[in-house]
Amino acid sequence: MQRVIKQGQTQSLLLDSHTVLSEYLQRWNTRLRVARTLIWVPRGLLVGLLIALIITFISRMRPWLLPEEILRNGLIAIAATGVLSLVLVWLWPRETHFSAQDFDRRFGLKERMSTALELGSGQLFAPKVFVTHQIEDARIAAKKVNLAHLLPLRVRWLEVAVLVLSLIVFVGSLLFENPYTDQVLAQQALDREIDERIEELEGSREEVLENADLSEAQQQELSEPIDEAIENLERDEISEAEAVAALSEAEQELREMATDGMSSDERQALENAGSALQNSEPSSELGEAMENRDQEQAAEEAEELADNLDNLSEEERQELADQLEEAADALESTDPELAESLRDAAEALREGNTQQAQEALEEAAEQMREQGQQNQSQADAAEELADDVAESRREMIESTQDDASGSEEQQQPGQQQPGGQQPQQGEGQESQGTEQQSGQNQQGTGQTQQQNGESGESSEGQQPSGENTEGQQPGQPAEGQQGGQQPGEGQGDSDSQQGSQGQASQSQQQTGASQGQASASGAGDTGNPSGSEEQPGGAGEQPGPGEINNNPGDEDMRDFESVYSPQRIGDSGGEDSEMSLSGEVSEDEGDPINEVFNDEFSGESVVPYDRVFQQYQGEVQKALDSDYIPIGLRDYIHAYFTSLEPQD
Amino acid sequence: MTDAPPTLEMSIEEFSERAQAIVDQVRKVIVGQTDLIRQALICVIAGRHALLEGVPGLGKTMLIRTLAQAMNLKFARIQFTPDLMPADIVGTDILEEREDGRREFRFQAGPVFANLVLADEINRATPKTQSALLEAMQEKRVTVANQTYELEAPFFVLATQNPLEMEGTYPLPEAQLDRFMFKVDVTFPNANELVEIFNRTTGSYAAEPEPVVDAEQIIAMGELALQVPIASHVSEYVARLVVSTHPEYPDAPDMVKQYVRYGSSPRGGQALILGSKVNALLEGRYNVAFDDIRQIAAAVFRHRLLLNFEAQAEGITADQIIEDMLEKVGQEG
Repeated sequence: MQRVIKQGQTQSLLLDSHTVLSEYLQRWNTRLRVARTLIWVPRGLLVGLLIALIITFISRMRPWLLPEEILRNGLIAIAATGVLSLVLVWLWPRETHFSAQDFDRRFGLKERMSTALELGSGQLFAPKVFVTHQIEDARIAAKKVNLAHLLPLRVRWLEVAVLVLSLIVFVGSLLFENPYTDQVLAQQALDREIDERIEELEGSREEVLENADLSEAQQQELSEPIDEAIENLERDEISEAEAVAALSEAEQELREMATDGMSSDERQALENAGSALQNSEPSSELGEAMENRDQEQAAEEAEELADNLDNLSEEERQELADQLEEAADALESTDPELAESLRDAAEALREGNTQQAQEALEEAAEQMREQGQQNQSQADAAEELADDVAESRREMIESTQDDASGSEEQQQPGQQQPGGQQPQQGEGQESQGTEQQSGQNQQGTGQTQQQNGESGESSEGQQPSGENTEGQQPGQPAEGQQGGQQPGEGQGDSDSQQGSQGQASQSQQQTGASQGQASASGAGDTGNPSGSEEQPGGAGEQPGPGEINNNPGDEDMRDFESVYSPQRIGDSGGEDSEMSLSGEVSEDEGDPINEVFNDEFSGESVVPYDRVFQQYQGEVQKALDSDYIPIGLRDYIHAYFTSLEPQD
Repeated sequence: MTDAPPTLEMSIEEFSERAQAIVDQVRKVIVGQTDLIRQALICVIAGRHALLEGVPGLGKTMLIRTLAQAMNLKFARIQFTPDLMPADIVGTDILEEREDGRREFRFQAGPVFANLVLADEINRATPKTQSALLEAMQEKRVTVANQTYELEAPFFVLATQNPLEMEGTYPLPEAQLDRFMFKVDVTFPNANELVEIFNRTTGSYAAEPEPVVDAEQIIAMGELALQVPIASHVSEYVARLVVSTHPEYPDAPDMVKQYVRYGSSPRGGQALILGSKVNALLEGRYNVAFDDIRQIAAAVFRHRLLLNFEAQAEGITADQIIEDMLEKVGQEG
């Protein structure tokens, strides 16, 4: 029974057996992973499908994703979880000893494999003879393992059925129309548009910063409104109205800078200095020029004053010295160099040194001239920048209008408009209701241009006092608006600025009503600000028919600009349910006036209130669905607009 | 495998054959009591002691005597009674007169000087007498009058006790109980077994067991058992079982925490592994499996769990607690 075993033989047996056992383990591990793949990959896919269904569900509860995005994200989730489960199954580490213990239990090997591996690896001590027998015993037991019986490759059909069912639900949910699709499309278009505007603004800012004619402080000053606008545009979930408002605000600030290139402090200081100098007869013209912030003129007057110093009496010189001293004090904070020159002149006059006073005044004149040129540079740059911003704003409005009309057309293909005027009426309806801010903001552009002193034609047809209608022609915004603002002409700059401010605030308004109010005041019209019974309170701009309107037979037919729905809602409709449009409706395409309006409006194109109201309703619903309106006020707002519904 | 595996001094087949031969001889006399026979055999092969508890008449004494006969071992029976003295067990020096008239003390060996000692109704003797067995059981030697005498190998004490007649008995102290590898419950035979017992004991048939192994072979079987490897995670499982018998152990099962006053000593773990090794060989395996542990866990821990009053009041037995423990303590660390 006993046999002498050579050391080498035993070692060889151990190695062979250990290798064989490792191979068994490897084979079993592969089989186990395959079996788990059949279980866990469907489960992984199911998880991905559940994620996709959740995405679908959320997208149907609130505006979030488009169907194609849902599909794409859903497929990504399904693929990701499927791949993840596959990766986990196949790459999950299974240490040899752990595998051995696991298979001992699974296959009822009574710890033969784990013991054999420990013995083979030397972790466990036992006489070599015994080790050999144990490993051989484990190998025999491993050989008897019936994998097909003990580790079957089974698919859990119940889980597969759930998977298929979920897939059907997912696909089905994609096929049904999502009520938020249009809203999401609009938001995405807005986001894109805002991104473009931000890019443009950043480009403008770069130009300012690279403008060598401007000092660093001026560059900084000009960049501030742009930075502010960019910051506002980059806010999350910014609405179109807010975006336009941000651009308007920036534009307004830049327009202010464009007037004389001065800051308000500088302006005030110059005016104070001018007032002080007007108290003295010799320097009254210099003072007037300074008060008017005409620095070029002031420089000339200063030089003239310097030339005339010898002709002044001693008393006049002393008085002039006092006034110069006072002017120097006023300018001390904003223009210390000029203040010092004036102070030097005053001192020289007091000392009776007219020669030195002349030199000081000439120096002051030179400084004023230089300052004036600098201010002019800044004003020019601000003007240019304001134009860029205005252009951005205009593009944004036009683009969102296009997007909105596109989505609307997509939503209502082939829908007949009343009166059989589908093409024009449809456009008119869009432009009325799409974005009420749009027409208004264009109007704002026209106003600011007017501030800059650009003269406009005024041959347009006039509205009776108190009637404010709105109509703008793309491509000629300045003309149209200047013409339309006939009642506002002759007002000072400050009035125009007020109008511009009114525009800015309008853009921030959500409702057409408040926009209408602001528009009226901004234009300086006599429109009823309350927007009540008499006439719509919208800004009145009506270009003359010969210039802007589309007349039958004209070669160059122009598109009608968007129509702003005036703030007049709340009454009972009927006669008042009308608004004027610039231009005339082609006879070929029917005459809506004859359908619903009386003869009082003959010659004007009008849009019935009920069509305008549809757009209002959409906007109200959008606003109510957004987070801007507090929950407590939503019922109130809803009730208000319900009361405004047109009566049949 | 290019080479044939080397052979052991005693192959596992031989081990199994011999063990089976012993069992066969015992079965000539004892009907049923499979677990009792197997656990007694494990104790004998492992060279440890066993305490057999059961009501009178179940064949405890007969089993032990039969084992001794089958293994051709020197057998001694000590009937423990209250008046039994330690010297009655270990022996004593007696004064003896030589032929030349001189007198001298000569050691008269007691019944403990045997291979297999049956300590019948061990709980009837006084603690002083019971403790006389302590040194013999643990050290396998006795000391009388400052003279130490080695006991002949193999040496096993198989004790019996009656769980019913507790009056006038002296329960074994924990220290002494711990020296028994197993405490085996001798169960009442079922009806079929009883019929067989009646047939065998009421007729002329008198089975006479034959010796199938000798002391040397028993020792060789024990040495072979010691070589059986036990994987590290199985050893860890044994350790977790032992610590789980202690109520102060955080991971101890709730039953242990509620009903156990004191748990197993490390000897319990040693006994569990040793018994498992023998059990593995008896099943034809070269390694210890979890099943081996579970099979003998009750016999190992039964007398090592000191139950509290609450357990006694509620009739909770150590076996119930062990069963719960085996269920709760996982094989995976």
